[in-house]
Amino acid sequence: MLDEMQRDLLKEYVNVFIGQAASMLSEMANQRVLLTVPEVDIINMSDDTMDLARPLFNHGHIISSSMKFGNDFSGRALLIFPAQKAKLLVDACMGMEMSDYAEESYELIDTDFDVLKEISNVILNSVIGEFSNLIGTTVEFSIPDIEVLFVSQDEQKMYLKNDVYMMMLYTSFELAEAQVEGVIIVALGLTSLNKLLDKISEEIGDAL
Amino acid sequence: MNNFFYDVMDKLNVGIILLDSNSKIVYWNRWMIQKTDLKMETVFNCPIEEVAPKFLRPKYQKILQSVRETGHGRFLAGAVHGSFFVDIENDQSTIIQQNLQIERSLNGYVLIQVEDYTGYYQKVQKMKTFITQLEKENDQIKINEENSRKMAMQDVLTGLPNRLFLMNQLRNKLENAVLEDEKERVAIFFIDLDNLKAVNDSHGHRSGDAILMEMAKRLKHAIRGRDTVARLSGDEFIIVMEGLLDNKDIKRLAGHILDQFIEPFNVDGIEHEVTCSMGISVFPDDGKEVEELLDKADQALYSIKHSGKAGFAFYNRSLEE
Repeated sequence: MLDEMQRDLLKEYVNVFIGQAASMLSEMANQRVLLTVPEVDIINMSDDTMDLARPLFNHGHIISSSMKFGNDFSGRALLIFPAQKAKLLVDACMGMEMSDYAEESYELIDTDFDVLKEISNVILNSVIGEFSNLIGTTVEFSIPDIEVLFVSQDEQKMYLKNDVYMMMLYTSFELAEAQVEGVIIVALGLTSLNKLLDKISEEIGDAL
Repeated sequence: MNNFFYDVMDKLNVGIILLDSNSKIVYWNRWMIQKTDLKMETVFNCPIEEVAPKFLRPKYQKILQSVRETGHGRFLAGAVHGSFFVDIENDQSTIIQQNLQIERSLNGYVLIQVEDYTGYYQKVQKMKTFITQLEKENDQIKINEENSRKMAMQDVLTGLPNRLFLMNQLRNKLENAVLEDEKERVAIFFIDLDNLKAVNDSHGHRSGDAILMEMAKRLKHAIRGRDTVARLSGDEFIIVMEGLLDNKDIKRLAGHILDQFIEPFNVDGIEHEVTCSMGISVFPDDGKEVEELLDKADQALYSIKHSGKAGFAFYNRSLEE
């Protein structure tokens, strides 16, 4: 859906947006948190031949937080982590010593979900807030809802099926002692997507 | 309608605070009054940081400002930020857990919802302590099990591997030697002290035990890292040496073991001359099974004992006749 140039520019924007979230998370975690988005993509979910550039998550439990945002630029933003890795982020933010959690032996408790809620709140706020700035509109939104789901590899597409266009931002969290891979998904309607693509094309036009 | 509104607000099971555009409190519901013991009249028109000094910190000032300017709600997890409001229901020592949800309302007003998780959080803390305790106990059990396992495999007096350990290890070694199919040979030295009984009879068992302990030390010193020395019973010891090429090799090592007995054994200032006899069987020449090899080494030992002691003999077929 994106040509090379659009993809590059989008990637550049997203990395700037996420950088702000990173500095807020660093403050929260009392340690340097680096966030990078090495890969972005926009996919059309109604296209059955569509393949995800990479699997969103391994077979197993995931933490998914999502929030709707609205106005001129509207859609749904999601942040997804493997549940096992989510615990590393929580521990880092609570200043706890990190330990390697064996497969399926992690336990998330309610306070962990609160921390994850705040983490996704910070990240999604930055990304969506900055996208709306880019398009030149204001978007209001509340706090994301967080849930833990069991999703198998085959169900990944189904999980996303409700929305049409998906902007996939494959995100890597680098903490002092761990690396956590997650994905930010921004589901957009056609109107909002066009607004974004127009803006990006416009910026490219200006640059050329 | 206004009365309805206030009634509903007061019945909510969360704290509701409404701040005006200057961050002064304009509304504070009953939940907040009960938690803090501060009446609406007391806090009305008070800057939020007077009631909750944490909001003086630049970090939280920035968050309030950002919510007000952008309209993007912000969630503050109590697990990370601790509590913002004094809680009169719990004493000072309690870790108070409050989640805050900060959102922009109309006309630059800011709505703060306060959720209290203190009771829950305490339960979680207790549970965590309990789990840590269980883990510690589990570790201790593992250590004890490991100790018992070692004890089952160890000779109490000398600390050397015992018969059980030796049999297991020898079985593994022979299996590996068969699997690897190398030209490697494994020698079994069956060692027996020649005159321990005399020491026991004349100086008591304590002296005999001291000699056995010293002997274990000397034998350990005489072998290479990959070899094994074990105490079979009484004054019988076994040494297993692998990676040997021919009988010349084995004889050299046997001589080295005998050398360990040149020096007399000193117990409580009394010097004891102790010698030993040794029977040797070799894998695969004399057999491939553990029991068979031990038995043949024992036969070789028997032969050397009868021919004058203090030396070694290889097993040879004529012994069976």
